[in-house]
Amino acid sequence: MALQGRPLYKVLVGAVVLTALSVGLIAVWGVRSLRNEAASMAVKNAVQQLSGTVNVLVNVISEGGDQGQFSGLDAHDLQERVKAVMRDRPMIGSVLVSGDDGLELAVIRKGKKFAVGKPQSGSVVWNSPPEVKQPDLPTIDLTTLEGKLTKERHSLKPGEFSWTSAYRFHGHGESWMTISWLVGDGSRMLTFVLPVSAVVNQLSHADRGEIQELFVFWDSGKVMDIPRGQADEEYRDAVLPSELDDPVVAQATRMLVDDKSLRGETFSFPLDGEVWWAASRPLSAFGDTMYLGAAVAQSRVSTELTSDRFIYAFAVFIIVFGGAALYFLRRFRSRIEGAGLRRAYVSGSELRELIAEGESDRLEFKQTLRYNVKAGKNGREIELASIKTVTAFLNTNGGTLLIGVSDEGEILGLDDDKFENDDRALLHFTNLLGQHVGVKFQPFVNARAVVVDGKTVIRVNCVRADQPAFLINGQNEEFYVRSGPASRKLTVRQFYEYIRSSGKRTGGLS
Amino acid sequence: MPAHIVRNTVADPAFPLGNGELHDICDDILDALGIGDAEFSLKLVNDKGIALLNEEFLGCSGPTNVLSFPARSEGEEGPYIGEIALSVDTLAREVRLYGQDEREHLVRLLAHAVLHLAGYDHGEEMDGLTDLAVAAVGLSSEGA
Repeated sequence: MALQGRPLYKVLVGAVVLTALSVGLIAVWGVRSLRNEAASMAVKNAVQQLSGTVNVLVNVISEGGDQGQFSGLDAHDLQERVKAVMRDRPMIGSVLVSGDDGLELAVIRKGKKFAVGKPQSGSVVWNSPPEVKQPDLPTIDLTTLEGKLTKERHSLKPGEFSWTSAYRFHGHGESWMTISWLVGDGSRMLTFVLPVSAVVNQLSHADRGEIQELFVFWDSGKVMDIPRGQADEEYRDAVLPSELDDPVVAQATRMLVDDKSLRGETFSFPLDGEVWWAASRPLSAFGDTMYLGAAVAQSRVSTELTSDRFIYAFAVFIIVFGGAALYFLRRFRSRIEGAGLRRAYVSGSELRELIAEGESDRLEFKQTLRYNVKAGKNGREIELASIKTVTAFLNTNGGTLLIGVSDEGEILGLDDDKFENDDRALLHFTNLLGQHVGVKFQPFVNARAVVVDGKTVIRVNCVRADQPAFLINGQNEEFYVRSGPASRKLTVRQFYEYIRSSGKRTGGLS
Repeated sequence: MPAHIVRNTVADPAFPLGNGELHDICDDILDALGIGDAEFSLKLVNDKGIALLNEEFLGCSGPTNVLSFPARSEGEEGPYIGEIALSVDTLAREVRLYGQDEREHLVRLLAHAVLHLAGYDHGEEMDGLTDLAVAAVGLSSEGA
């Protein structure tokens, strides 16, 4: 028999629950991955755009190094020229001029004044106006500096600019960066030293969209956070992540310093109950020593579709939808459980196959509907035997009763019962069912006359009913269940156990 | 649920009632006749179906409006009183031909059939009870 009756109902209920669950899970999973995608894209795009901003800045400063301005000058003119350039560009902190003989000239800005340094016996001697105190001026190890300058000069070709993060070059620390290029015939090199604040100021005014945190970090492990829209500042020190006030930037930097594979990638980390997404990108103008990083909280980039409100609304929808589906299943339970009753075993060949299976817990044969073969006359006990089987099917797992088939499976037909026609036989059966079981069980029973090999067999399909079915005979009420290929009458105590276990198995009898 | 309704014909737009209303009407008829505990089966068929039953059980040819099949023999007890077959085609036709209220005509046919199941034969008493049932169902539906 195809899927029908109670198993069909159970499968439908299971399908509704499974569908609701899987649609819910897929939606939550989809929204989650959408969220991740949105956050990841946001930081990635932000560092890309903002590092573009830095490149623009770099180009603007580089244009200041127009070679022609510094060609063929003597020492004094060179000094004045350099001071003029520094006056024009307040972001330049100092300028170094070097040649084949090493450092020629160093000019450093101190407030509105300039101090001029010349190399002298392995050190730089500063010549400064009286407002500038000598101890404020840096002490430079000329040997180291000249070594670096020479190396830089040899790697440069005319027309090229070399940017570097100054901490590697001049020992000035992460907060400075330099730009060098060759002037004149290439024998002289100019080096501008700028505070990183120049970049930071630029970035702090840049449009960063949803991005909450911006920072610059060095592969030395130091970091400088970039506040939003802050007033220009001349100089700030890069610090260790642990010295930062901002826990998000500190955490992101710590991860980037510890794990080099994260650099240039997008990654996420939890902090204070919030998921943060971060991305970084090398500021390639400075080699791979300096990176721009950005971080954003996942909740910040949530769209309407990925918001918690959407998820809750969707959950409510799923619950309402599933509830409604279950309600309708429950409401039409008897119809669903009764579906297929009519269509099963309607042809002679189907019936023959069924009979060949022999009696079982779901199949029983009765030779006659009312004629007692042994007594040679009609008997109520014979009628009740068929109805007893039907109630047992109704109370257990359903099944099929064939009337007109002997216990051995021989198809005898209803000749002994001597009904005028098949409809009368069916009416008689319906009457018995109505009288001894009740009309409310008729949706769970379908009786039909089927002709097999020229003999009429009444085939009665039953599914488990939605309530216990009793065999009512006058004042007696009996309760039967299937037990193997037989119908077993239960005592009151056994009936009580049956009700209890049915309740557990099916969630209560309605 | 004193009546079990089987629709053995496709839903006929001419048929005035849904299953729920039909159950209510059957309840009302049984109550009006003082046999509220009784149960019966109501089979809704078309003209072809009822003509077949008419032929097989009564030996009459052609369709009719309603047939009753009492389940109880003389002196038998029990709530189940039998089966009624009602042709929705004939019902619609008679309503049209005689210009009757379709709902009232349906109640009259059902009450008539139920009285047969309950053991009544044609006569004044049966006609009186039928009128009573029609009036009672009419009243209760107006009051609802």
